[in-house]
Amino acid sequence: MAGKDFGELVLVLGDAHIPHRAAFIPEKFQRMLVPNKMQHVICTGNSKDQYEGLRTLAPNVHMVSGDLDEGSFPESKVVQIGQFRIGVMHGHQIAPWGDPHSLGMFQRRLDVDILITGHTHKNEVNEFDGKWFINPGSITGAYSSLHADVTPSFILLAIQGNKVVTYVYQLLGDTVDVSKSEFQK
Amino acid sequence: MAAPGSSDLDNQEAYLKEATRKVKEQGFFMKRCMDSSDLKGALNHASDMLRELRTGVLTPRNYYELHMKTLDELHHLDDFFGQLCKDGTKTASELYEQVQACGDVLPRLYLLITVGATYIETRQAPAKDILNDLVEMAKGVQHPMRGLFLRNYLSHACRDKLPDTGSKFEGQGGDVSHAVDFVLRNFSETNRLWVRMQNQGPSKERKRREKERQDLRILVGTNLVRLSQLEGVDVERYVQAVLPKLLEQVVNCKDSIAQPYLLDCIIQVFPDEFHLATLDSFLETCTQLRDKVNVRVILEAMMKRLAAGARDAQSSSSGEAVARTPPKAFAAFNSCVTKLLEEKKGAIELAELLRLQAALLEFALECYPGRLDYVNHCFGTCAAVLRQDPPRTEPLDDTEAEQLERVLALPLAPSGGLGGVLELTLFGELVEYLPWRRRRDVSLGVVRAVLGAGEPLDSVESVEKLFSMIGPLLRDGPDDATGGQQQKSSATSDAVPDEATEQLLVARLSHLFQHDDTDALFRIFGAARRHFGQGGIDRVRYTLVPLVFRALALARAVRAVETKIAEQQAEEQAEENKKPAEEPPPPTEKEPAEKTTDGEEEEAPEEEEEEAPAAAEAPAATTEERTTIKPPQYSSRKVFQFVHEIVTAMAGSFPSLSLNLFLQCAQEADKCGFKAIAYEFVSQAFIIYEDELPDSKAQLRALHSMVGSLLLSRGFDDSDYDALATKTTQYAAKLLKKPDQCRMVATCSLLFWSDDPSRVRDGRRVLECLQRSLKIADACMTSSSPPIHLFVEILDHYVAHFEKKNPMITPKYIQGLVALINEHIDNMDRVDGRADLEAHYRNTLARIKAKEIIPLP
Repeated sequence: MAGKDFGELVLVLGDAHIPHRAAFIPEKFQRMLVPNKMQHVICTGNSKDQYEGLRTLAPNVHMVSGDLDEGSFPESKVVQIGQFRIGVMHGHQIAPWGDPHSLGMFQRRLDVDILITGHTHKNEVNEFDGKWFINPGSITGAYSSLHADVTPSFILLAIQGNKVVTYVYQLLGDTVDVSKSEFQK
Repeated sequence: MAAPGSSDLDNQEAYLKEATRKVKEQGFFMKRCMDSSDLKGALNHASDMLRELRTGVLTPRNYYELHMKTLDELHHLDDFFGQLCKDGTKTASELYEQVQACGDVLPRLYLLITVGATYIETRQAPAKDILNDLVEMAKGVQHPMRGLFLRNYLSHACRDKLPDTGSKFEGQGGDVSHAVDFVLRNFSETNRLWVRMQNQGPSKERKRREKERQDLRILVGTNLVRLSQLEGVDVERYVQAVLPKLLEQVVNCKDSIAQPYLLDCIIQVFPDEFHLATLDSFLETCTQLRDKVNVRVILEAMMKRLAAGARDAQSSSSGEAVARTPPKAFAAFNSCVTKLLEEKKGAIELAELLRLQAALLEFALECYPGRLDYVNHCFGTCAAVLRQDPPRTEPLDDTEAEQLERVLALPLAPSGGLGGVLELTLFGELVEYLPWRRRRDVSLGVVRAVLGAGEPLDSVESVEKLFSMIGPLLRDGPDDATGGQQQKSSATSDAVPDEATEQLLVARLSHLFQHDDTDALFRIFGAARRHFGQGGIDRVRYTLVPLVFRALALARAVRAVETKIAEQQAEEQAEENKKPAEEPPPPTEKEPAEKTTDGEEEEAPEEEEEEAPAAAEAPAATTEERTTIKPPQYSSRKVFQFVHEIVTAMAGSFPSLSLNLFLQCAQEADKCGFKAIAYEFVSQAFIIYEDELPDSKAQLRALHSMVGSLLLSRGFDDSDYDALATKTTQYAAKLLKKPDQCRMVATCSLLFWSDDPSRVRDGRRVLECLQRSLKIADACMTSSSPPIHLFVEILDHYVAHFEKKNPMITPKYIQGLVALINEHIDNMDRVDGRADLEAHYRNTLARIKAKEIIPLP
């Protein structure tokens, strides 16, 4: 039913770092991550422990290696979903970390409409030069040396035709905050 | 024995066949007489038919079969009698008289019951009188099996003829007390017959007889079902008139087959509220049974029943269950168990005792969620039973261990709903009785329960307590020690993933450590490290890593406190120095903290004695009265030293992981403003890189992290930074594969041009990197497949540096590279990835064009 209303739903998450930096995915999020709602899961890595769980959520799980996965998954992946070419990398390979210029370089290299990266544990939905850069943050709010307080977050993409709607879910204290943005090709 | 048995069986079948034939035959004649309204004839044939039931030859099963066939025929007589009364040919009382003329007792009674039911139905006589008559007359048959079946027929024929509350026979026909009386009397006679079966015949056939009795027990139990179906039996009547009679019968029959069966029937057929109202007398009876009776099974059944009721009530209407089960129920069960223990000590096996406690515990957990005292009480009883003087030398056998494991595991189940696993005082003692393997399973249950509850572990004591409960997960046991390595390697497929899963769970525990006070938290970490550290390298790789990250976050928190203190001190200093001259410029964020609190230690953090932080704190202590913030006993440096030790210990066995951890530490140290410590951490990472990394893939990953870490750093002196950046670039140039070298050296160009204009901006070094990268790419050149993808990637870097306004990167380089790529790209073989490469190049050119770097078509 969700498919009819929203187009294809893509769950984007990563950097769970369980058990290294967190014990669980927050319960509020766990309750939202239910099977048969999404068609794809894109994971930015460092979530090896979650792989099997993610596979129960959607038929297609696209996972890349994080800096701590020791190469269990590919370094980068390009996925075609609807009209969009989506590139996924963990992001530790893109220096300086989180730098828009460098991200742009990899977006051009992978020739994608949307580049999804993680590593910084800070969620982002940005547009540069007509391309989209998405970072789901850390779903567990895992420790990062880059920021003092990490907010647990993930992102849902609804892809329909030439349009993508992004929903950023953040856990602020005890409440889930959702912000929505939309872009077109 | 076998031969007569089998011929017996043949005879049985032949006999049954013949008897059945006769029943059918007489039934046929009976019906024919009924068709011609010949009452006398019908009764004669019915008697002849029923006479077949007088046999003493058949086994209970075969007798049952014959009985059923006979009743099928007898059923037609019901309708016939009913019809006679209805059309006025005969009155019910006339019929009742007439059938008594039958000469043989058994057929007469069957007929009498059949007519009696019709009689009651006509309501021409009070139901109570006829029922009374029938139940008395049935005493005429004292042969156990024949009597049992006769009384079963009586019960069945009159099931809807009782003057129960709300039935049409109530009033004139009596009331529910008469109904109860009838069923109880029939029950007690039935039971008497059933028990008497036991004492008939030679003692050598006892086993067979017991089996036959088991086959027949349903005939007795049916009476209890009838009782439970009576509308008029409410709690009050059950308490006063029903159960006392039943229990009296149970106790007085002194039969070890009847006692457990009847009690179990009582448990199953009556509702929970009846049981709760009569628990004391029920349990009292349980202590008066024959020695052979396994009381545990009965108590367990009752507790399970009540627990299930509580569970259902809770799921249907939340929270009500607490009020539902009266608080004294636990006490009642408990005192019954205690009494049994005292009276039958030695007679009950240990496994049974433990099982009984498990049942009591399960009952307590279901009916009184959260009552830790009940759990501890059951644990106490188990401990008392297990403690022996002298202490037991034999380990528990498998059944005993299984039951004890159950006792320990029950409160850990999610449905147990206990938050305070750590409050289970005797857990540690009890778990010691289990063999190692089972202890491990129980330990895993503890970890799951603690993680599930998610309650913070906020003191060294609670951490110690927890770790004492889960020892088998933290270190090798006695079993593992003897050739544990061999065992492991021989059964790798089983053991290893299992162990990994366990350790992944244990590793999560570190995230439950919590305390607002940084010193207290650090002490908790210290305790945890001590325990995890004993686990050996295969466990440590899982368990110590979370502690590193927790400690890094702690270091940050401690640093924040230290910075605040330093700021306060600076303010006070400024106030004291309040002279006309302006105060010294307010310190910037990080610098003053280093100089004031940590100045002396700055240069040699790793050489501190254990006690050093306390000593360092001394001068700060004098300011304590004046400042509101208490200086931490454990400084941030101390915390960094803590992680340094952990990671150093792992470096040899897990180089890639440790290298990454060292870089994480360096990033945090840099953020805290400790340039020397940060430098030390990076150096350790570099040492691992040089000495330990297993393969070029690991090296490549490491270099990405190094470049990222260096670019993130803010605190290094220029010379230190330069040394580290240069070293990294050298590593890049020495990677095994040329394309990796090429890419990584190009990436290292980033190290020499910071986005921050106040930091390193060495345009020449950038250019050197890019040119070197280009040279390596050239070396990859073969005529068939020129490394165009590398050229394009390098071009990207030139473009990026051009955009960053590096004056050394001029358009002519870009121009040259574009020309080079153009020259080769048309000649390129149609290889896989050509489309990707072209797309990439197209994107790069578009960028160049958009930024107007060089003129393009």
